[in-house]
Amino acid sequence: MNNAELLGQLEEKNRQALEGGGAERIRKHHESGRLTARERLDCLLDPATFVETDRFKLHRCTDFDMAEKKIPGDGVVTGWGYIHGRQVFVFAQDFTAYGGSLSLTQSEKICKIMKLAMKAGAPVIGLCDSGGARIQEGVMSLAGYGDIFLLNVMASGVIPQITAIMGPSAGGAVYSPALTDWIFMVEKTGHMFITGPDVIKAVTREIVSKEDLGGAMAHNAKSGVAHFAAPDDRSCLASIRELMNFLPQNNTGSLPFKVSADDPARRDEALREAVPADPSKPYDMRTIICSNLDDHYFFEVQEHWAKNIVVGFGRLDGMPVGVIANQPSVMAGCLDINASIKGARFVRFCDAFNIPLIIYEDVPGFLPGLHQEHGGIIRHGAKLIYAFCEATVPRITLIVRKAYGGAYLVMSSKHLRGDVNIAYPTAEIAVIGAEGAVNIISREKIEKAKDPQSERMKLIGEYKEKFSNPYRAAELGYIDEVIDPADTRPKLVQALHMLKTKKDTNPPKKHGNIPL
Amino acid sequence: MTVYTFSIDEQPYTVEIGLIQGNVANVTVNQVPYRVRIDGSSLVSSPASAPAPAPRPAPRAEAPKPAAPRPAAPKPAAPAPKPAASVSGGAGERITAPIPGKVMSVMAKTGDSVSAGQVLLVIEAMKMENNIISPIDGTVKEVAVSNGADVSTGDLLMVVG
Repeated sequence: MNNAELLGQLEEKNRQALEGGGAERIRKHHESGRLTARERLDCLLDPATFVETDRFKLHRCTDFDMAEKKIPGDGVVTGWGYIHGRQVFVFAQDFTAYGGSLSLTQSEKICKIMKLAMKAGAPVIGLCDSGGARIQEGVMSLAGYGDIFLLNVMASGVIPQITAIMGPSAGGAVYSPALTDWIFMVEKTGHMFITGPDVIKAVTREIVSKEDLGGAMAHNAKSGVAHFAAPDDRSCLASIRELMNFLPQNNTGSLPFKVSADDPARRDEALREAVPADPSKPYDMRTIICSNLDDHYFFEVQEHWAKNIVVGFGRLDGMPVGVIANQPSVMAGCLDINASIKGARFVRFCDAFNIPLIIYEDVPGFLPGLHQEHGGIIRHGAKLIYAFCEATVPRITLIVRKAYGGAYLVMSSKHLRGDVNIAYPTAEIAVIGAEGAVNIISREKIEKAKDPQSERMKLIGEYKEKFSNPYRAAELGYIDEVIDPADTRPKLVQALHMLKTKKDTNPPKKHGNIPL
Repeated sequence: MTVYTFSIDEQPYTVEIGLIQGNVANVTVNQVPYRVRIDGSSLVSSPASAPAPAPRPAPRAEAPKPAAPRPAAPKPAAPAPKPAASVSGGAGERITAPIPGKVMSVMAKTGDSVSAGQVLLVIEAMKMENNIISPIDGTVKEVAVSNGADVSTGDLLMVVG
């Protein structure tokens, strides 16, 4: 062959590879509302930045006539590219080729880019759309999953790992996503479950649709497995790009700073009225959060699950911060099992990647009840304590209203190494609420009183005046400063600047033993 | 902050006009934040959404929009009632108690039409008022509790369909 013919041969091979499972399968795939693997990568990455690896890689299975069925690339597109000009490694399963099923070859391709990502110190983003294991390959396919799990865990806390579930993801395929930091799901087309509706029906006789079992909202609102839901492929991929705005490249990389026109000294007098005077009235904590952040922009994470705690990202004077806040408008802002788990995982992500934490506190305590106690609120609540104690990133806590008992301690108090702890004048920092306290401390006094009811009300009033305020804690140095709510943004920005060079460490150890 | 509520084609919109700096206003439509540039009397939204007729609560326009700043209480997936436990009045969204407490006030009655985000009842728990809001637009098909009732987590409060 002459050179022109050799080039022609390459062109032909490329053409075959780009076809994936063929025109007919691509048509069906589009009909189901999904983009192809390559179209998804085009949406995800900056234009024309994708570099592909292993385009011609083939499977080596010969059983069940598989030797005759070979598709270049073997059902996954792998490589690297750029998002906002920053390098990322990507893999996208191609449902049109063998239903995206995972072969050992496919796993080798994914592992190759994961290893490169760890060496280069750049995030990995996986776009999942796979029928599951390549059954024809038997245990080889299982080995493929295992190899990916291992690398997921090795990369955990080293580089950010993001997964989007954009098609089926069942059985073994769910655990690699679960080991990554963030899971996005596309509504109606993305599904995750260990066993599908048919198996569930056979075993437990429960009848459930695929969407109710493992659809985007099932995992975003009920199980807490996923962090983001998007109505379609394009908005899902756009959301991943948005999340990337807040993440460093790796655990030693600097945070993506973004110049903002928003004045760091901007005051907001409306915040003086943000907290209702009546402590039994709810309000949306996000009003305060949004007011404080650059351009009022808050990128909420896991917004549909455990809504009594709010977590997400934003910026203060251009610097990315992680926000974790009690939400008084949902379940009174109590900490319960799910809120503890959601909060703890978020704190640990931010700590692993050096993202400073801003904590907004209005918490009446842990949620009482048999369901909570027997569900293990003790060990789950301990997760949040553990996460805060361990976190060495800059931590700024703002007590907005209630900070009672154990929950006061948990929410990044001074005692758990909080760096800057400030409070609004509306703050109530106490062991328990006034009513409860008086019932215990002054039971005898109330019983003996001529008019027990009015004695009780009098004592409650006295207790409130004495203890339901931020000044007792401030006298002890547990609160650094009581601030005018209008000054919140400038105060947070100042504290963050002061902590820019913060260094803190934990004792050397193999690893701690977080109460899982 | 000024809050306007209005509806277009029966679709409710809550518009909050926040901080206005120079000619840029921070506007929140159904809890989706927008930065809006004010050009004389006409308004042009700078993020590539806010389509002409009216911004949708969950933008599905061609222009990709991050999923996160979406309404806090979007429509959850269809309810998953066990086939045996179908509620009286037919299928609907079962509103259950998120927290144990006492019903302070029931603010809708059977037959009322309600909209997503509307407060249906208030439960007192942990010495706080907890607003229970409707996740969907619909009609109240059943009210399962009355004022003063004690409820536990998961107890049926209302059915909206």
